[in-house]
Amino acid sequence: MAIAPWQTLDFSAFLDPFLFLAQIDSDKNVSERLLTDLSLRKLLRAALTIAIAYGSFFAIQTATTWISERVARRFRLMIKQALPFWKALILVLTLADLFNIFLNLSEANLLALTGTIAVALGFAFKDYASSVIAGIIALFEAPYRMGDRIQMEDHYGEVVGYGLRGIQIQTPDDNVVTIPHNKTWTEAVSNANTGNLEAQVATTFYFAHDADADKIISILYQAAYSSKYTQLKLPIVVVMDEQFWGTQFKLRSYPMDARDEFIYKTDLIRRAKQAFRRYELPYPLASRMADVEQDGVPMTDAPPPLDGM
Amino acid sequence: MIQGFMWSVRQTVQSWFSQAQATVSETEEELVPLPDVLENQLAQKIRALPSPEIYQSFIREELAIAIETWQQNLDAPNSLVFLGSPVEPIAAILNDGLRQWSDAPVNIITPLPCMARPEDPLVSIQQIRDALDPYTQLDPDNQEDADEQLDPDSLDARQTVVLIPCLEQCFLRCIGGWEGIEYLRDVAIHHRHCFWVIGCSHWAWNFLDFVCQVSAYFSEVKSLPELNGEVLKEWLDPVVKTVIAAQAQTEEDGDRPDYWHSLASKALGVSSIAVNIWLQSLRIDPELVADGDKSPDLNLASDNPEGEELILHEVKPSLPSFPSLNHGDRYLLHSLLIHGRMTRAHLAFSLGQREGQIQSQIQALLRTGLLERNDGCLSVQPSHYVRLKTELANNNFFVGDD
Repeated sequence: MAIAPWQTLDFSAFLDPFLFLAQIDSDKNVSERLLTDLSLRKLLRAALTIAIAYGSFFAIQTATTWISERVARRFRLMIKQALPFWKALILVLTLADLFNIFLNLSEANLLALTGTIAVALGFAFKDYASSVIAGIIALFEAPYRMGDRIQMEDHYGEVVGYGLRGIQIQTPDDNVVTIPHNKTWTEAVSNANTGNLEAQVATTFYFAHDADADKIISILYQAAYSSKYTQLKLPIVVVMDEQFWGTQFKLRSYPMDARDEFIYKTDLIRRAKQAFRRYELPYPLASRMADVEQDGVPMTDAPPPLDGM
Repeated sequence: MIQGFMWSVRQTVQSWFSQAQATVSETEEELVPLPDVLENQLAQKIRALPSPEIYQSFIREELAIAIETWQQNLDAPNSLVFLGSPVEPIAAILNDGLRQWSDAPVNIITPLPCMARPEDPLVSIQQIRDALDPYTQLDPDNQEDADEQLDPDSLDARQTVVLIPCLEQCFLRCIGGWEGIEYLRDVAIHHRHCFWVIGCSHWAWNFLDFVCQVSAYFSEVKSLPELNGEVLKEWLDPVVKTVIAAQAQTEEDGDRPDYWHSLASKALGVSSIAVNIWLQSLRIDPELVADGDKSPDLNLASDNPEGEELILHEVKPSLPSFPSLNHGDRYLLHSLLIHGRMTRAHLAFSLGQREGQIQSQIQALLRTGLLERNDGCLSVQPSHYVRLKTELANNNFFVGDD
């Protein structure tokens, strides 16, 4: 049988431009298989799931805060620190239920889905995804936990909220600052108490060079031991540093509750100053310190941010 | 933290079991608590009783052994510290114990007989110096070098016991407030020819150990024994027998061991707590207190054999309900437990506050019954001690080891 010349022609070159249409068709089939049929019942169930999840989030957040502020101190952090895990659990269960409602999660579909999600997150929600992942990692690495007193960038305060995207810290001025988790990739996190109730408080005092250092050290130790806020089970240390304008003494001690750090510091200073006055211990000369400040020379090393209010 | 938690769990479980074992009176609901007047009269009767004999014999036995060792061995410790609960009258117990020690092999001197803190706590060291001054045995000019090798003949000179029945009254938690303790500590270590007997509460001792390491100087420390139900009954019997309905004492369970066991368990074996719980477990017929114009008088058979006896009833002993506390209350109560009895001015000074600032707190705590006021001094009501200790431990305060 004779073969027509056109029958021997290679059509592949001709069809190449239309192959992407076939691909689209194939993707459509996958898409149809990936998504289950929509129905009103499913939509209502999904809405109910989201409502329950939202309600649970709110209830757990409220209950955790309410309970933790009413129980004894040593249970406060224990209760607060469980909050992110409860939230994560609710989130996982909610997503699992929604996927179960709307998706057919076969092996191939899962592959396609993750690819799509990866592309979407990579372009549209890059920072959000980064924060979520950082938040999950932070749950296990624990650079900060609920109830910790942390310093990130210029912000210092107690971690009072742990969300999907970031944390909320309450500053000493009673402002709530939200910091995304992904800051932990690049910024240093200074944690004062790392899950404990106590956090060290450093209180600085300044004296003239000829002040009786032994007497000052003795008074500072006694100031710490006598303060009602002091956790006596933890070490109390006084360290000295010599500056050209005078002598700097730093009292390092721990209050029983890190929340009391500023009132504790005030109590220490007040007690110590009463005793300094009694013994007439000389402070550095004001004129000398004014000269130093006028010359623009730093009076001392800048106090660490945790020291300041 | 875990130890504190386990302690509170143990207390709770023990209280469940002791509640289960307690005898429940069928007439409990028909009776009413004692009026304050009656309760005070009974409390006075109990205060007149000597300390429990088991405390006294314990003190004498331990002292006899320690003094004998000290008199025979040059390097033996020259001190013995008796610790008790902060609500226990340790000074009275020590005084009772030594008063009954008829064949004491030594001369006992008491330069600081449960003194009150001076108005200015900073002069407490001077007060202690003045108190020790009349005693030539404690002359600062004749003190020994603590590291010096003693002459064996000096054992014969070991005839003096210095009794300090209430160490917590010798300090205040403020700058310079425990210089007196440091002075005493140094005198004791430099006068090894004197034996030092010290009474103190666990809480004060723990505090002083933190701030001036007293345990390093006074190594021999004994805690008062816990009282069991039988001992408690024996101690309180002179009062109990005169007021409790006769039928309760002649029931088939006779001495009601379950009641006394339950009482001892709830009181953690501490006499003052047991007394308060016992008083609170007493009930009276409501008809006897119904007449508002005339409160019943405690007319004990022993006082007036011909008078009409007032019969009371015991119900299941239980700890009083514990009021909720705020942070300020906890600091105040913690300070009181460290210092024992103290005036309002001293309490304010130790807290670093003015008297006016704590006045409202004190009034509120007095009203809830957590505090009591005697002779111008404040102290913690003993029946609340058990729960207060748990409360403070749970709030990260250091507590005594009692």
